[in-house]
Amino acid sequence: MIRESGALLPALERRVRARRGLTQSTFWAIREPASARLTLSLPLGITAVLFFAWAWLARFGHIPTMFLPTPGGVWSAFQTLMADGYAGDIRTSIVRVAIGFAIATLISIPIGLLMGSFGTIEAMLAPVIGTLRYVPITATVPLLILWLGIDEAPKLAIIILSAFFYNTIMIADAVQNVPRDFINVSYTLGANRFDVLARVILPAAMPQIFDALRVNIAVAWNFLFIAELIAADSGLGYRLEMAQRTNASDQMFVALIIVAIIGFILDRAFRLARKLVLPWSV
Amino acid sequence: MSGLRFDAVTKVYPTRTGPLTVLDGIDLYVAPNEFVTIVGASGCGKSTLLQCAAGLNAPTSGTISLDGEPVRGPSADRGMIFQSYTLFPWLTIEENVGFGLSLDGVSAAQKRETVAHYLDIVGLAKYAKAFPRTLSGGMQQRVAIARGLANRPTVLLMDEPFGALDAQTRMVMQEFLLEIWRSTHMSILFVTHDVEEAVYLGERVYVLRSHPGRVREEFRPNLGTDRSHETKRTASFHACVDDVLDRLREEALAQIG
Repeated sequence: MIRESGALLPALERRVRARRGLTQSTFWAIREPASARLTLSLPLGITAVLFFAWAWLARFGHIPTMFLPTPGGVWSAFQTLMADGYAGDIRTSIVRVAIGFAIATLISIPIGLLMGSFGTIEAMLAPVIGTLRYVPITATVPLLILWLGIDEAPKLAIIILSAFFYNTIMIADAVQNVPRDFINVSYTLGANRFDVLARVILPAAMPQIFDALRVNIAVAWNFLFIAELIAADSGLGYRLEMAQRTNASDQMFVALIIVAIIGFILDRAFRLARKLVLPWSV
Repeated sequence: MSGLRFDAVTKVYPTRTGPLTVLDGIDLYVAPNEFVTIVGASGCGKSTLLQCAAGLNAPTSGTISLDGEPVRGPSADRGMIFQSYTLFPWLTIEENVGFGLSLDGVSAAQKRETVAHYLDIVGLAKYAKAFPRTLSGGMQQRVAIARGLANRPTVLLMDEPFGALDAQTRMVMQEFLLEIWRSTHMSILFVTHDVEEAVYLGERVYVLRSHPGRVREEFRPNLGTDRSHETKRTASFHACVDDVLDRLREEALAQIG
């Protein structure tokens, strides 16, 4: 016979009762989206805090300007650079990443699609791609220069390599997440293998492919600076190297902030494009 | 020989602990225009059986044929409706229904007409331009049936298509399916674990035993082609349900013992 609450010591029972239950929370709600107002105000707030921390440190932190420029100093460095054709360098860098990433994507979509769809292709390529992606791209630079010279080709090659492996692996993964019943039902509707790839697997995997591209273009941006260290005479990486020669930390900050802003815009653009191109996927 | 036939179909899966026989010498048939149901416990191999009929899975031995032609792979003459909602979320309702037709290269005008016809049959014409996620489970399954019908298969294979629906939707869907069957004269092979559903829908009911899956017995409920939900209140319906349940109970006890 199980006795009821009398079996528990009264003190313990009080504790158990007191422990149970949650109070509602706006800020600490697990796996709940923040309200529209907080989604706007929280990032603006944290940006302001970081900005003022920087401004305060630069002004009152007894750090020489050579190491930490003031926001005002960075702003005037930006204006000086813009007068010196900086916009052209920004454009050059964007074009490099765009072309390199586009090529990487055009190669990795068919390969990822085949790898994710056919066990044979996966058996063939997965070990190769899985191994090659551990080779540091920086370590391939001497070879790339030897093979491709020092013009645009090796720079593009670095950006392509930086995005290709992860794009392919993530696209293959997206394909493997397509529900098997989608494939089976299309077979019973008379689809052949090509139909299944082009009309079922590819569209079904599109949302996850979009997300993969959004993540990997950030990696491509990272490698732009390594690409532009190779005998570049234009681009943000080239300007950064110039700034290094004179220890112009204000100009370095300009380059970093610009890259960060472009990255932010790209991320938003990818999210927006996904919403517009794939309205069915929420 | 017309219709769908299973002759001594056996399916064995290799497992770590040795071969596992899922289907053992299955003999059954579905005549043209016939509605046949298969009922059995979970794990009795009834889904495997249906996948073999669809050509999505190959039997280890034995043959499956449709109108005398051996089944070698999936094809449009054996349409299948799944338990899970398999509408393509990136296509609108009408594009989903027209999916099989567009694979055939049917002209746009004819496709539009056929799609409209079957959407009308399932009563969802006004959702033609909507995306699947905006529809309830029952509606999605009706669209899936319309998609299967629009493709004009010789036989429609249904794998617990109403298994994920709530009781009342399920009841309505059963009547709806009977109506469609009467008006389209299609052969249907319908798999379920719900005995009442099997007896209500099937002109013949195969009871499957488990481990390995074998045809235990065949029942003919004889409820008449004009059966409706009222039929479920008749004594002959309940007698047949009880017979099938008795058989399944014996099987379950034998499994435990």
